[in-house]
Amino acid sequence: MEEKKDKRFFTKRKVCKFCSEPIKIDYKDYDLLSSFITERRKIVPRRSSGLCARHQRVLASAIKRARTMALLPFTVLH
Amino acid sequence: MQKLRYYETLYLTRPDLTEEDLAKVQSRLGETISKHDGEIIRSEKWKERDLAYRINDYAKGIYYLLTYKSLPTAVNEMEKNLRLFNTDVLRFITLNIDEDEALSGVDSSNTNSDNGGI
Repeated sequence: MEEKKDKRFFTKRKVCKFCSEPIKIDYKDYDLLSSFITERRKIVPRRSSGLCARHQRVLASAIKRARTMALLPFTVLH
Repeated sequence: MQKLRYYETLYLTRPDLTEEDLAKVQSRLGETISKHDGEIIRSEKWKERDLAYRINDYAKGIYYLLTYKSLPTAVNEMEKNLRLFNTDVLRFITLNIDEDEALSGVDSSNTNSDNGGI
């Protein structure tokens, strides 16, 4: 049988959103930050956010700042 | 001599704060800044917003964003003053910001004041 299944998956290479676009990460911009939290209000990991290490770090601290200011929730249980 | 730096302070007050009490807080902050050779660059009020979680049984709150230039010693005193009003001011945060960020004035806070949030 010549029909070999190709098991490789082709995934689009993700480019860091904040490297490719001139957007500043700001803890006050909760609409932007909320696109990087999950349904359970956790911070989206790098493997799914596709951010570079530096921007993931900056983003994480921005989300944490927004949380202490009650702009974003810590959990869904509040 | 110490250099003047740019700071922004975001503070959250309870929604039923009277104008009088608010004026007290604001004048206290203004005094502190001018005492430390500083000046206020911008002062913004955001729309009343639903908080992401309840603080002292308040589900809503009003945010005020203060951008200013002053000596670094002012920050400690600003935070001490904000802590004094802890029944009125629920949360606060102060960040050291870049000069161009402080002077440009067009950042996300404009969009924030227009919508109700998440």
